[in-house]
Order: sequence, then structure tokens, then C-alpha cells
Amino acid sequence: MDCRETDRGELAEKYLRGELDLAHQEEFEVHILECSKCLQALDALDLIRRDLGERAHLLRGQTSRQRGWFRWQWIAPVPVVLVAGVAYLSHHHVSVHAPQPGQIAANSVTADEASDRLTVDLGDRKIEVHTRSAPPGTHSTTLSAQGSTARERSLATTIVAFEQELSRLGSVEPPPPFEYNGRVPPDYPAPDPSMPAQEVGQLLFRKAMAAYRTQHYDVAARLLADAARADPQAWDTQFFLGICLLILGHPKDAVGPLNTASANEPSPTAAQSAHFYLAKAYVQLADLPMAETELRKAAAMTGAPGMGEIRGKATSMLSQVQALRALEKAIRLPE
Amino acid sequence: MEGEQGLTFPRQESSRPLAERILAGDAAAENELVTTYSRAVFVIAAARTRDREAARDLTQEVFIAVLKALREGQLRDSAKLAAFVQGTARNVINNYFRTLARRSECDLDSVEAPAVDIVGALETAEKQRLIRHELESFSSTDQQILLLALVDGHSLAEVAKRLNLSHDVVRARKSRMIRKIIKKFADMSQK
Repeated sequence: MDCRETDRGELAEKYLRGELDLAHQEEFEVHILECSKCLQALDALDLIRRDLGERAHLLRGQTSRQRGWFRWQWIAPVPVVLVAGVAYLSHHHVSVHAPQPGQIAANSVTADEASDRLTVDLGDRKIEVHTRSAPPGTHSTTLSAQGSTARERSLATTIVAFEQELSRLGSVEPPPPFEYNGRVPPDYPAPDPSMPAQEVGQLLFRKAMAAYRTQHYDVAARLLADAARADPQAWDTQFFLGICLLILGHPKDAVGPLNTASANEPSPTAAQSAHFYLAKAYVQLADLPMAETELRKAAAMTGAPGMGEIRGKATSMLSQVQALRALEKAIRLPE
Repeated sequence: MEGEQGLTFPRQESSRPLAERILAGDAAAENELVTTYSRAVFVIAAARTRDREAARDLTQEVFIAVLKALREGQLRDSAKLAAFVQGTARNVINNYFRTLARRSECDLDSVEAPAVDIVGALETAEKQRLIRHELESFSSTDQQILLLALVDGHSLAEVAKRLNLSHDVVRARKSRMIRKIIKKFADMSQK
């Protein structure tokens, strides 16, 4: 490997995102041990990524602030992410009790779905945060607050930015269902009482996958729960049960099946995916330390074909979760 | 002549491969090994673990293992020292992950902080300041390009689509910014 090759292939970037396959990763590491120029470039890129990651929540909101004329074009079709964020917030506004030391400095964040306003309850005062959607794809909103002190406005907008980042990172793209060699018959036989439990589990799993394929996740979840009862050790059943529960907005219930799927270690690839989606569940639960732990596991797994993609996603998400943890510290009351 | 030997001997020693000098018990060679490879080993450990605190500990562990092996003459081809260091680093980091997997989750935050390398920390802080200063000198769109490409991991085509720019513009701007920062970075290291 030479410097031109590393430069041309943007190997340093791919290395930092965990996207190199094992052979290239090792070759690249040997190269940077021998080449101070490439080591320096890698070091600089790493620091750039960290700095941008730490300020991601601010940068994502900047484009729309600086391109103010854009706002009015996009107010009517509210971007999906904002809807998701609002939906998330309306589901996750926290208790009405006064925030305790160490907790996020807000009683609740509630959304007025008829407008672009979110209300942050800071205990003795409620701050209204206005959101303005940004051009599609930049998944950012401009946040502004009025009628309070500068510190309270800053705190309220940071809380909303935090919740929106949390919502964005916790969103789940369903993994593809398993494909079978043979066609699954449209009419599935009912499980026979004499059938071994494992076969019952497999039958229900196949039925569930048919529902999953057509995005009937509630049906799939019920069938998978039955399949898991029949055959609790089947990692694939546990994995897709966890995924369905995540999609249906039950991250707490998804943790158990995904943990079982990762612990059963069917294959490195499957275990890696289970860790990755467990991290998604923890992000949805706002448990960022646990999310970070799971992402570290997923990002560290190598060695089998097809692991690069999840590894890359996990690495990228890890730096964003780490940045989010730093942001979280800023909005927690001192202990 | 003794005087001449006195001059030439160290030169001959330093031109001998590092691994051979370490095997011969040369303490200065051991320091040279650490100075030469420590930054790279740390960067590798940080990239693999995504945890700079753990990477500091692991770097030390890697050098303990490398030096022990070199003193025992375990490296057969001294020209392959870098590959040997890389292989040792990989094994040490993999062991770390195996231990981590066995450790209970709640232990993670209570891991004792390693001793702080003050000089290293100051250097890193200086580099971070430089990076922040340079990044903030770019327009917000340029920073978005870097954010979407380097942090979020989007392809240039995807970044171009999201920011409503052409693919060529995104590629040129990203490449120019990275080159500029790396050059400043190199200039700073040479000072």
C-alpha cells in the first residue's frame, strides 16, 4: 500500500467509519505505522470528525437559519423527521414532577401539533420554542424561543435539539426479512399438537415473515411472540420480534428479545445486527450509555463477509451518540 | 583507532534494525520504538475501540507486549517490525473486547481513569483548537458537507442531493477543506 492508494481510495475516511474489510484494514494500519504523513492525515480527520460530531446539533440547525428565505417554502409540507420528532416528543414528555438534580432540566416537552411550537416546562416557567423546518434532507429545524431570559431560551432550545437528535438517531429502518429457497405456501397449516415445538416455532416464524414483508408489523409481532414461546432459543425469532417491537414503539419490550438474539450468537453477522438494533432500542429509551456499549460491540465485530455495512453504521452512530451524551450533560441539572 | 570507533560505533548501531538492537539489550532502541510507533498505535486503538481513554491504556499494553516479544527474539524478520506491532495491537485490542463483553454493562462507567499524559493531553488540546478554528472559518454549508460525509457517512452523491449542490462541487469543496486542514496540521506538528 502506498500514500497515493490511501489518498485515492479515501481509505482514512473509510477506516475511521469502520468500512474497510479486514484485509484492507490491517494493510492500512501497517501503512500508517510506517508512514507519518498518512498517520498525520488520519489523526487530523479523526479530530475533524470528533469536532463536527460534538457540534452536530448546532450545525444541523445552521443551514436553515442562514438560508432564511428557504423557510417559507417548506412550512406547509412538514418534513418527516419533524413529524417523527413531534410524535416522539408527544409520546415521551416526562413526568409533571419538578426535575431533580441530575435529571434533564425540564418537566416536559409537549408539542402543539397544529402549529410549529413546542412547549418546554422548566418548572417555574414554560418556554415556547418555535420550530422552522429546513430544506428536505438536511433533517434540521431552526429553533427559537422568546419571552424569557437568554439562559432559559438557550436551555429550552438545547433540550428540544437534544430530543430531536435522539428521535432521529432512534429511528429504525427495518432490516430485510429472510428469504427462503422454496416459496412459502399461501395457506399455512395450523400447528399440529403432535408437532415438535421447534417445528411449530419455525412454522410461526415463516408466517410472521410473510406479515413482516408486507409491513404488518403488529401481526408479525404476535406471531413471533407465539413462535418465541414455542422455541425460545431460536435467535431469528427473537431478533425479528425485537425489530417489530421497536418499529411499533415498544423499545423497552424489544430489549429482551434482542438481548437473547445477541446472546445466542448464531453467527457473527447476526449478533452484530442484534447489538446494533439493541443500541437503537436504548436510544429510544434515552439510555445513551447502554446505546454506546452496544454500538461499541457492533462496531468492533469484524471477520465475516457482510459485516462492514453494519459496522460502518454502528461507527457513525457511535460518534453521534457520544456527541449526544455531551449535549445531555449540558441540559442536566447539577447533582 | 579508539576515537574513530567511538564515533562510528553508535552510527553503526543506529543503522541496525530496531528489532535487532532491542534484542541486543539496547535501552535507547526501546525508547525509539515507543517514540516511533506510539502515536500510530494510539490512533489504531482509538479507531478500533472508539474510546480514547481505553486507547491510552491499550497503547501501553501493546508496547509491553511488543517489547517483551522483541527481547525474546520472537520477530524473525526485522524488516517486518511495523506488521509485528500492528498484529500485536490487533491481538491486545481483541482481548480487550473479549473482556469487555464479559464485564457487566454498569461497570463501564466505573472503570478507573488511567493516568493522564499531560504533554499528550496538551498536544491534543492544541490540535483540537486548531481543528475547531479551521472548521469554523468554513461556511455553514461547507461544514454541513463535512458533517454529512465524515460523521454521518453519506456518499458524496447523497450529500450533494441533500444540500442541493452538484456532485463535483461537493467533492471539490470537501477535498479542498480536508487538504487545507491537514496542511495546517502538518505545519503545526513541524513547529
